[in-house]
Formats: sequence, C-alpha cells, structure tokens
Amino acid sequence: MFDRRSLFGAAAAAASFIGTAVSGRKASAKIPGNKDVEPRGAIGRFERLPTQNLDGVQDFLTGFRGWVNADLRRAAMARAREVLKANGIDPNSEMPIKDVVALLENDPILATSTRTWLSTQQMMWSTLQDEFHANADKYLAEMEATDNAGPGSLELNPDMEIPDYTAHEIHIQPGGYVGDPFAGHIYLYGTANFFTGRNYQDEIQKEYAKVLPTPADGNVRRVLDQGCSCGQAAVAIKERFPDADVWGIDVGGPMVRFAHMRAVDLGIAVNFAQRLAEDSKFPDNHFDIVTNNIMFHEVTAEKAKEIIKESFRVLRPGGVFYPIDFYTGAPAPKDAYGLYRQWWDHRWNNEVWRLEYANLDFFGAMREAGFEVNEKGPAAGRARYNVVGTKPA
Amino acid sequence: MKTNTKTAPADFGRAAYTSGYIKANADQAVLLGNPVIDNMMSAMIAMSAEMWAQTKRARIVEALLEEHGRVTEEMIESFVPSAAQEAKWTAERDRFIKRTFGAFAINGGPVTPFAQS
Ligand SMILES: C[S@@+](CC[C@H](N)C(=O)[O-])C[C@H]1O[C@@H](n2cnc3c(N)ncnc32)[C@H](O)[C@@H]1O
Repeated sequence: MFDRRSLFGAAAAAASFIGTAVSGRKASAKIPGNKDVEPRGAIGRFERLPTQNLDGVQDFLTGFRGWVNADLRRAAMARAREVLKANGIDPNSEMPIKDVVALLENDPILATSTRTWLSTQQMMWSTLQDEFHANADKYLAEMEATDNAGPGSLELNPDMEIPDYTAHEIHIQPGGYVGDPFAGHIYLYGTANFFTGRNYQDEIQKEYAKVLPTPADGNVRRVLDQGCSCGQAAVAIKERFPDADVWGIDVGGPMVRFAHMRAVDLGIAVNFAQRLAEDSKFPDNHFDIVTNNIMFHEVTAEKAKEIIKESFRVLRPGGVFYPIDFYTGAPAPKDAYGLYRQWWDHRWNNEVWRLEYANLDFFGAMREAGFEVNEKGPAAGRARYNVVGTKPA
Repeated sequence: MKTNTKTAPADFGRAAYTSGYIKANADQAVLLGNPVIDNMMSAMIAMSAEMWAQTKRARIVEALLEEHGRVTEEMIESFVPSAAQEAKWTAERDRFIKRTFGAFAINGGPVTPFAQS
C-alpha cells in the first residue's frame, strides 16, 4: 500500500497526533515479497498518495469541498429560505419532499452549490481510479501477495451471488463496492477527502470503537463489524479488545481484500470475509457485540429489517447490537431544507436507498426482531445519543 | 430512471473478485440550464486543482532549494512537509479557493441592475 502525508489539512496538522506521526516513515510494512507499493511512505495509519501531483490535486479538492460545504452551502441555505418565504412557506414546516424539490431544484444559487459539489465528488473519484487502473498490475500484485498472509485472515467468495441492491454506484463511486478491483483503495482515499481531512488517522472509527457498548457481564470474546469497507473500524475494535476475535464482513470482494491488506500492513489481526450482513453464515448466539457504521442507509428497508434479524440471531443472549447511521442518534429531518438535502444526496450522490432508510421505523424493526431497545445509548460521533439493542439474556 | 442493467467490471487479466455493477447517471446531470455551462464549471474546478498541484510543487522546489541548494525529481516526490509548512500551504490553498471561486458564494439577492433601479 502507498501512503501520503501532505494531505493533512491545517486542522489536522494542528492536532496532537502530528507530533507523534513520523515524517515519511514506512508503515510497519508487513506485506510479503517486496510487493509493498508505497513510493512516498506512510504517516501513521495513512500511506501517502503515490505521486506528488495526485496528492496536490486531492489536496485542492479536499479544500474546495470544505469551501463548498461551508460558504456555498450557507448561500444555498439562505437562498432556500428566501425562495420558500417568497412562496409563503415557513421553512421549518413539514411538507411533502416532492413539493420542496419542485420549489428549490431549479434555483440557480442552489444549483451552483449542487454542481460544484457534484463536480468535486466526480473528480475526487475519477482521479483516484485513474491512478489505480493505470498501475493495476503492481497494485493487484500487492494484494495477491497479501491475500494469504497474516496476521488475521481473508475469505473471498467469488461464487457468491451479489444482490442487485448492493451493486449500485453508491455515492457515485465508480464501479461501486463490488465492480472495481480497487474499490477499497478508491473508497479509502475518497473518504479521506470526503471527510475534508478529518479522518487521515481513522479518527472517526477509533472514536466509535472507543464508545462501543459492551454486554452487562463485560465478556467480549467475539465482535462482528457488518459492512466493514476498508476495515478501519474493525481494526480499531481489535485494538480496543485485543483478546477478542474480530470479524469484518462486506459484500464487496475488493473491499475486504483491501481491508485485509491494510490490517496486515498495520500488523493487526482481524478476520475479513466477503459475506452478506443479512446472511452472515455465523452460528446462532455467537457474538458478544454486532456493530456497523453508516451501512444501513445504503441498503433497502426490507434488507435492513433482515440484517437486524440476522444480528439478533448471531448475538448471544446479553449480546449488544450497536448500529451507527444518520438516524440512529437523531430523528430524520422533517423541515423543508432538511428534506431537500436528503433528496439531493439520494438523487445526485446516488444514495439509492437513503430515502427508504429515512422512512424506516428502525427502532420498531429492532423491537420486532426481539431486541430490548435503548434509544438513548452512548453517542457515536457528534450525535447526543445512539440506539443500543440488547438480546434478552 | 434507474435500470438494473449491469456494467462489466474492468478486466486486468487476473483475479479481482469483482462483479457487474449498476451505473449511476449523475454524470449526465444538467444543473445549470445548459450542459456546456455544467461542463465549464467542472473544467474550471479541474484546472484549479491542477494549478494548485503546480503551486504546491513550486513551494516544494523552493523549500528543497533553500535547504539543499539542489533539487531532483526524486527529492520532490519524496518530500514531506513539516507541520508548519503544511499549515501555511493549507491556508494558502484556502485563500486561493476564495480568491478564485468566492464570487459563487454571493447569494444574488434582490438587487436589480443599475439601469432598472
Ligand atoms: C458506507 S460503507 C461503510 C463504512 C465503514 N463501516 C466504515 O466505518 O468506514 C458501506 C459498506 O457496506 C457494504 N454493504 C452494503 N450492503 C451490504 C450487505 N448487505 N452485506 C454486507 N455488506 C454490505 C458496502 O459494500 C460498503 O462497503
């Protein structure tokens, strides 16, 4: 794997980890056979992007996204309020999503904010994909060298049937999670940009591993992370519970492959498997904790319910279910602009299932599956609470 | 409208554990009333990204020359800025963005052209 350093933003540079991050040093480099592709070294958990030019382009797009999210969005929000007011609508009132969209969609100020965001997102993905495709042989060889290496393990299931609903280019990632050999590489570096420089050291996943609630008896021997993507959370969970058997599963073969390679490179023993969250193949009553981060808004409402049931099945009595997503800590917005943003993410960022998710009675589905539900459990990230389900002992 | 027609994954002649995917259609978005205007915005952002990458490269060359009195491609590629350089260049980047794109953040508002007011 490669790494980058200069993508640190000003805020990240000021953060305390910078003092301990060693400039340009190689990561633990456990990738066998001299196959480690890391021409520009690593900083802590992040390998620098392989060329100074790509690094510079991504650096610009990170800054530009930050500006779009702040200044342009502020202008768009102000404009939305004006348009609604001009149409005699209180911006805080509830109204059908299609009516809000009809009013706001064609306004030029709002459209500019959408256009700039969308172009940024497209460029972020395409410049990354271009690098990996142009150098496919060396990046594939790196993964091949690591597939059977430890610590940890990798299970790929090339004959598994991939459900259509998982095959979309969610957040317009080219090829989606299942259709590009470098989906993991692209996702990791894309999200570093998406989080505008705030996740270069997996800060978000580390924070979430830290707050992960444990069963009342304190026993944590096995943990499952569903929809694990690049394994950032699974790795952080293993660091918090070093004696536990930690599993990360994901429908995307390239995702778990990359996750495994990254964990090997970091020297952290996690088991990754290409499996479905709704059909995980684990025995009944197996895990002490089942968790997932921002997976549910990317599945259909029907599959979300199946995943909740499957989580209940594989948890042991007393085991804890801790899903984290948009509305696990706060209700879905009902105000006009909030609804517009939801639709916007669905339409332009190709978040195909997001509106279904917003309309799902998630806590009700948890109760239906048999969980005791605490809607005000410990918060993950910026929310004030997060839901916790417990399988009755 | 979404169709479920699958696109075949890129094939590099070795096992890649991929399967067909369903393409998004956001790349056909016309948001600014005319596809050419949409494309111009994308091109402007792309050019600015390239320009910033070049500016940053120039800063790196300057820093290397100051420190070593010479510079090679390899030195540029492997250069890792200090925290102070990083913070300074990030601030420069953000000023560059505001300087070039700042006009788009102006809301518009109700002011009419001079001749009509
Ligand atoms: C937004 S990402 C999750 C990010 C990750 N949990 C993190 O903390 O960085 C959603 C992931 O869920 C996976 N996924 C979606 N549906 C799934 C399913 N039914 N079973 C397993 N994984 C699934 C996708 O392939 C994708 O990698």
